[in-house]
Amino acid sequence: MEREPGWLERRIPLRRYTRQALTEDIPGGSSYWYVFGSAAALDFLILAATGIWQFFYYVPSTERAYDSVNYLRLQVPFGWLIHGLHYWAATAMVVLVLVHLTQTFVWGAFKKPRELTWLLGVLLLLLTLLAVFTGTPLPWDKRGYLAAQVANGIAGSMPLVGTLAKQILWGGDAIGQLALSRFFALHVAVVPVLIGLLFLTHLVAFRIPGSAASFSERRNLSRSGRFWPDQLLKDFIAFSVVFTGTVGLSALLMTPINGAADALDATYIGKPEWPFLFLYQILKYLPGRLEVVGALVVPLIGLVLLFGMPWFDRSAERAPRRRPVALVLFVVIAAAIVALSVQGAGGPTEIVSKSSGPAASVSSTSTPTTSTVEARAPYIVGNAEHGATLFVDFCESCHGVKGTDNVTNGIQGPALDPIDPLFVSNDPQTFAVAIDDIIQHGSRSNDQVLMPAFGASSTMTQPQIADAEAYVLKLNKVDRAKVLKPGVDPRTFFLVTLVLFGLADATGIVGLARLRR
Amino acid sequence: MIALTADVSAETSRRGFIAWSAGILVLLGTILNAVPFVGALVARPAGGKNEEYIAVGPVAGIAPGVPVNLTFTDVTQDAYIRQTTVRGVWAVKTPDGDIVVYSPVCPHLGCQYTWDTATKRFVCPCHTSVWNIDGELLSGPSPRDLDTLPSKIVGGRLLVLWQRFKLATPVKTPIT
Repeated sequence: MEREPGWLERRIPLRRYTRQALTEDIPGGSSYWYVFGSAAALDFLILAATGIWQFFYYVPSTERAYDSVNYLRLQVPFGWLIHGLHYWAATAMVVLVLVHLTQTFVWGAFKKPRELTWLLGVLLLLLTLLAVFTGTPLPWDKRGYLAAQVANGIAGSMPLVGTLAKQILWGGDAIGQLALSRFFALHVAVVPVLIGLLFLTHLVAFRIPGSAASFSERRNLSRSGRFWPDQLLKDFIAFSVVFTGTVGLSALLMTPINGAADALDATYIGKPEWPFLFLYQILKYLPGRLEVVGALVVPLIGLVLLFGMPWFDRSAERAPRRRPVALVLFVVIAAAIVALSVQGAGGPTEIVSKSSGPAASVSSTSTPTTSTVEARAPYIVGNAEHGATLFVDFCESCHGVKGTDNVTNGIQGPALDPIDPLFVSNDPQTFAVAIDDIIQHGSRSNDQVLMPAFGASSTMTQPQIADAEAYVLKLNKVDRAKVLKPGVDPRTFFLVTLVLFGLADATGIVGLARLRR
Repeated sequence: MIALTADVSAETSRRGFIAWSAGILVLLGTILNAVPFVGALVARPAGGKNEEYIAVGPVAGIAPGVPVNLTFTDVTQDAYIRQTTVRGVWAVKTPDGDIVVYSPVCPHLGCQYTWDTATKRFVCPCHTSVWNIDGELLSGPSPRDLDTLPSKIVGGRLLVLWQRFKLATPVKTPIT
């Protein structure tokens, strides 16, 4: 049924373009195996939208970034969702791109005449990883800061390109404001624009030879399907799984609160984001002088293999069963990466030193009132987990294990679990402010130091005090990172999303089945 | 031929129904997803209010008939930024010995007005609103008298609760 083109259609033929875009033959029919590319593309839209929304609150400043992110997460209505969606959709994007690449490889869909589509796809994978890499430091928390620092060190160990890379990415050797600004510019402007452009090129290149479809020629010849509506419905269902999943993760798991970046805190061991864990683990196995092997040679070999795939494997054969060497090689490499990643994920993230406890230095603590240290700690959202580690180092000797007052060394502080009700408040910041003064300035009685001035004497940094305060709050059942203004209860929002997308999927499936009958 | 036509129309209405329900669901989904995105920009974030009286100076130095500009440091929470701000308020001693404190912000469009010692009037330089020493509007575009701030005297010191008010409205309304 061809309708007469209307006023708008005659000027901007949207309907014609849409029809062209949707008309695509899929030999062998639509399949759930083909959803990963479009799911990644739609996932990228979630990232773009939530990324733009974060602009309204985030500032790329080493002084303010951490506070601005936490303001968004805890105080802005739906901030938890916008930040959470960005975090989990980024994780999903890496997974989807990797699965899409694996599927393309196993189905032999990278072979002639689709070499360029494959090449663009590998570039898109690298850009996705670059987006993760440049995004991690942006909250300027302990983890992001350390990731930026370690990567800077690695870049420094590389011959020739190292210095240049350092200059481009970090603005020099120092991990400071220039580095953060550069990561910011790359993450929000350069990388997403490149991803968008390369994705469009990838799509155009894909449409020229058309869908590679199944590796089974018999299946491809036996029947044919259309992108609209069959494959589109499957793509939509895949997207609804991804979207509902990321909403669910955002609602049920808080994105990690890692504590403010702290160059002086040696008790926190950062780990890279999970896509880089295998490289991190390789570095652990290599002696220092061979670091360049892990940092440069291994990734280079991987890149050559990935980029060169269509030229290394030139046979026209696509069925995985008749490409045993390629498949076995792929499985071995993939298994090695997974194994190294799992290994890298294990192991401690905190060091308990127990050597620098304050008990020994109590008597030598300087007079607290002369300090010029600004007591910022109660206004920083601390990391209670790291606070627990610091507690062992600084607080346990007087306040007892986990603040329970079981002290053996004779210097007896009051119990912190539960703490004197005078300090307690349901509002985390009020609670933190209430206990902050004594941690900053200590306490004295008749010229005897009862508690050292941890803040005023710079025994602990302000981010460390913030973490310790978060831990003391946690002991008293108050979450320092409590979402103060969720907008809508996260679980309710997740449930509504689940039901609505479930209904949409069901309608699509039933509707299409009835049409086909 | 007739049967075929009936088939086609049944097919068409079925397609129509499915297209409609799909459309409604997509619309609902769009609204659902618009709620957080719009909400994050429109709804009010959680944030601390400054509700403390701040000492602005001793009352001894304030003479009747001579407004005094008292400056003080106020710690404010501007979203995620805590900062100290130096503010000034106008304190006036009334003939019966009470102290009245005026916000230094012109109720018209927010300029800082001053005390003109020659005419003994408060004058706003921006749009020439004029008030007398009791804060009553004499002339100019200001919609209302000067805004008073809550104050009290403790131990000979003047304490003020800093507030802001909506601009350009006839009624003084605090911004919370």
